[in-house]
Amino acid sequence: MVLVLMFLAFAINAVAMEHAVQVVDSTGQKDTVGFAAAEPAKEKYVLRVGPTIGIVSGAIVLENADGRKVNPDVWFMQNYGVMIFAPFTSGSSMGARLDIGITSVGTRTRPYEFYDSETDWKGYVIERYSHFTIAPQVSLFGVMMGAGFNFPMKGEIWHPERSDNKYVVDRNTMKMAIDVRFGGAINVWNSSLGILTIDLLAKYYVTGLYEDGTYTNGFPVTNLGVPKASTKTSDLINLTPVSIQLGLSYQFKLGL
Amino acid sequence: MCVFALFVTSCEEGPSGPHPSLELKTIYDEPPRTGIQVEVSGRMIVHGPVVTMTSTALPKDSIFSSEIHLSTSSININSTPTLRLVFKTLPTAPGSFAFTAATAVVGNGNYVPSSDQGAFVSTAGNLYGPVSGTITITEVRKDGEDIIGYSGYVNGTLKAVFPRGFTTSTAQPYPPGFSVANPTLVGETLTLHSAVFTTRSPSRVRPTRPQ
Repeated sequence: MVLVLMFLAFAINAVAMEHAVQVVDSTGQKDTVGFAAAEPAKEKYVLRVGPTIGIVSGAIVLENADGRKVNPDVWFMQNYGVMIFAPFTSGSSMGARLDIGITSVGTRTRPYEFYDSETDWKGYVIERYSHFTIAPQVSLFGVMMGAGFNFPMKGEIWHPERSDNKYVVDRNTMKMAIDVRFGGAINVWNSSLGILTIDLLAKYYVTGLYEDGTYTNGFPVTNLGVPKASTKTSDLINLTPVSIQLGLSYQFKLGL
Repeated sequence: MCVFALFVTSCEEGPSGPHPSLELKTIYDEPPRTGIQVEVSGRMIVHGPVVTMTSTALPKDSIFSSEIHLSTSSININSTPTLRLVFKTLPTAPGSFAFTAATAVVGNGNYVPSSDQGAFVSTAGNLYGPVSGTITITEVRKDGEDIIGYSGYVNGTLKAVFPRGFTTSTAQPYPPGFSVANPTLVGETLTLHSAVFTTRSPSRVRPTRPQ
C-alpha cells in the first residue's frame, strides 16, 4: 500500500512539475522572443492508461512436501486488469507503472506416489488461486521491476477429469501474498491514440499463498498418501509458486 | 477487496467440496507385491490451533438411526467415533444438510457439544462440535425401504466446548466467555477442510419417518 501511495504521489508530482515548467516558460517568453523559433517544441506530459490481459500463463511450485510431486500448469485468459504508466519526465521511456487486476496462479500436484492408482503424471490434481492484485513497478525502457500485493479471492483444487467437483479452499487460510516481479513490455504498435505492447512477466510469490501450516497438501505423506508419522509443524510447507505470463496491453495516451 | 472485483470474477469462502487428494480406494504396485488394493470408508483433513494439518484414514463405519459414524477403530454403541455425522432425520435421498450450531450440554458430568445436525470430530483427545458447514450426501444405497449405505462429503468449522488444557478450579469454575445460563462452545476452532466417505459396513437402517 505504501508503494501504491508513493506511485500516486510521484504521478501527481510529475504532473505538477510539468505544469510548473510550462509556467516558467511562459513568464520568460519576453526575453527570448528572438530565439523562440529556434527552440524545440516542448513535449506534452503523456500519462498512459489502458487494459491488460494475460493471454497465456504458466506456474509451478518451487517446494513440495515430502512424498508429493509438482509439475507446471498452464492456462489461458484468466489474468486481466488495467495499468497506468506515468513517465518520470515528458517523453521519457522511464517511469512508474501500476497494474491493478485479477491474477491467477497455480500448479499441478501429484498428492502421493500411487495417487489415482497410477505411478506417473496420468494422475494429478490442479490447484488454482485467484487474487485481486495491486502491483506498483518501475519501468525502464520497457523493462519492468516491482512487487505485487495479492489479496485472496478464491482457491480451488480439482481432479482434471472431475472438474465439476471442485474443492474450494478455506479463504481464511490464504493470506495477502506478495510477489516480486520482473518483465518487459515491447511496443508493437504506436499511434497517436496509444501504444500496443506485448508484456512478458515473471513472478515469484515470496511470502507463499497460505497462512503458516494451513496448506492442505503441505504435509508429508507416504506412497499411499498416509501422513508420515511424527510429522512436526516445521515439516509443513507453504505454497510458493513462480509464474510466467505472456500478455497484451493497450495503453491510451492521455496528454496533460 | 472482493466487492471491487465481483464484477469480473467471484470470491468463495470455502471450505467446500470433496478434496481430490482424499481417495478411498488406491491400487498400487510395489514389486514384489502387485495389484494391492487399499480401501477405507473415509478420509478427512482437519487443522486447528492445537491440531497440525493432517489427513486421517477412517477404515471403520456404521449407520445408526439418525447418524453415520466413521472411525479409526472399531465402532460400538459406547465408543466415540472419530467423525460422527448427525442428522435431524436420516437422509433418504442425496442432498445438502447444513450444520446446526452446537450448544454445550451436561453429559457424563462434563459439558459436551450437542446439535441435532452436523459433524462432530474426536481428535487429539478433544471433542469438537459443529459451528457452520454442510454435510453433502451424494448417494444413498437402499435395499427396499432399508438404507444400506451412503456416500458423500463434509466441510465445515467446529469448536471445542472448553479451551484445551483448561481445568476447573474454585476460583475459575468456567473459562472466560462461558455462561452457565447460555452454555456455548468457547474452545479452540477446528477446520474440517474436507471429509470424504463411502460406507462399507453391512448396515441396514430403516429411517424414522418425520412426525
